Amino acid sequence: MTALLDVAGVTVRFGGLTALSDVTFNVQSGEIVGLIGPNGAGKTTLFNSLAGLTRPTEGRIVFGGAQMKGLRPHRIARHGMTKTFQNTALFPGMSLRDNVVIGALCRASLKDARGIADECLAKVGLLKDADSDVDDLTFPQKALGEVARALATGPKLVLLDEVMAALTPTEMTAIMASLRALRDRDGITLMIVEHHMRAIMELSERILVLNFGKLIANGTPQQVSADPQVIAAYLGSSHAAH
Amino acid sequence: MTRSLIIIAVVAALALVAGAMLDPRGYVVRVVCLMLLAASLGQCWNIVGGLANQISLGHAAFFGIGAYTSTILQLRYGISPWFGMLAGAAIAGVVGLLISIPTMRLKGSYFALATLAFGEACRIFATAATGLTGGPQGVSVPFLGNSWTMMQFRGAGPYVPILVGLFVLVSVVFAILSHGRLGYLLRATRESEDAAEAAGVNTLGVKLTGSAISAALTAIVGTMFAQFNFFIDPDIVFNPTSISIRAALIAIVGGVGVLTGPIFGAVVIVTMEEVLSAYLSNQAAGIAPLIFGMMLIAIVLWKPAGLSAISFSMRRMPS
Repeated sequence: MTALLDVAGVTVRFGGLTALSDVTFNVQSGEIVGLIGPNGAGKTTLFNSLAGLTRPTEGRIVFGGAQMKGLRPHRIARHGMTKTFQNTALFPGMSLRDNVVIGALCRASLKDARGIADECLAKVGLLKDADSDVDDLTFPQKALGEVARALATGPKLVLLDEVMAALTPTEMTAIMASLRALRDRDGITLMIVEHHMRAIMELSERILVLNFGKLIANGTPQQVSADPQVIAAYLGSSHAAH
Repeated sequence: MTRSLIIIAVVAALALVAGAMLDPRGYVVRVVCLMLLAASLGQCWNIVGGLANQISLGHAAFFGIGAYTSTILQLRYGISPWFGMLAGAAIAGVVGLLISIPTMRLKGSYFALATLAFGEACRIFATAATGLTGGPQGVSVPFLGNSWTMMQFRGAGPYVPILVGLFVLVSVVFAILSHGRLGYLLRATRESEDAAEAAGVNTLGVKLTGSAISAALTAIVGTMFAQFNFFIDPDIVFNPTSISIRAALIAIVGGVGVLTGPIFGAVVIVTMEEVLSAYLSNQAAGIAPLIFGMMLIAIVLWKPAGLSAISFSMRRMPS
């Protein structure tokens, strides 16, 4: 079976700085894949490269059988791969519904887009806030609003960049349930960047670990958490010595 | 939205009544026409300046293209300005599209400077291309007697319904854009290009469409100005201050991105211009523009969201 997303040898250089170096992995349809790594490891850069916001210096990104590298982000979104933004990037001065409507406009008329928006808001449990101005939402609501806007584009794969930051444990359990439902009910493949270890270990079936722009591990949560290189990356090399 | 459309309708009705009741060759009717032209120009600018937040200071380019295209077609081939207007709009639309390709990637003041330079380039071209435009002496629209088909009249009165039609047209286009699909996409693009792209919005295409529409409509205003004024030269229709900056000023004073903004801005600015030139133009040189400038600063400090927000301020809070 061919992978939904096939990433090979992706390298991103910003001037003299190598943000990502020869990253290779794939994602099967229907998987939930976690992406972890210390601050500055290149997680967001990887997501931006996949979504087309950053152009990789080298490498190949094949999604659904088509080459994505070099396409503009809206083309990639229309192929079915989109991302949410760390610290959220909802459009200010608009209602939450209108924000989500914009995501739906790439595949529907304005009239139908409103219906799609409400469906997507319901999926993340935000329908009751549809008419709120996004500036009045709490941070967790904004993060879920981002997920709803991404869903509105009709994605096959959503790259979730820290949607669970700043949540209480109860809120986190609720969000994890809705994310799992996106996969189980809607068949949407998810890639998740998250700092909260309990959440990502519970939610992901497979975890990729980035450190200094290199992929250092790729396995189940159990394999990854026992991997000496991963422990070294997180806790410092002295802990991995024994 | 409903309230804004009512204001537009009331303004249109008042202008029509003024045009019908007052002396068609009188001063007041002429001022009403100037206000309608100014409001229409501001509304065209509002499409890119308000919805896309691209502060263009080069709209004189499109205004001048509209004015010259219809006038040249009429002078050389006897083509009615009604058709010349459409030709001008088409040319300006294409020019607007082409100039946007390099400039749309610029942000904020860089975009403003690039468009200002483009407007100036057009003025210099029109001045130099004497074979095409008549150069710095300008050209006159030949007067063939009062005629609806040639869009020309001795007094200002008959222009009122035409200019009301123009103002309603650009306002309706603005309303449709702002509440329709393109309005959503423009606002998303304005707030965050990255987020809009990730949400599937072709941000470049959206901006190009907006600026082509704005340019084409601005050219129509230019044609109507030429018909109203009967004389154009490069310094009049490609003027950076009295056209480009004024277009932005009208929308900013009235309310950027607001449907009723340009009419508020136009009424206030044209009134100020007329009053100051009537009472102060024979005083010490520079007094009139100095006071004009100070009043503008005061207005913008007093109502940064524009004069159209005045009557709103009490009801606006809960929304």
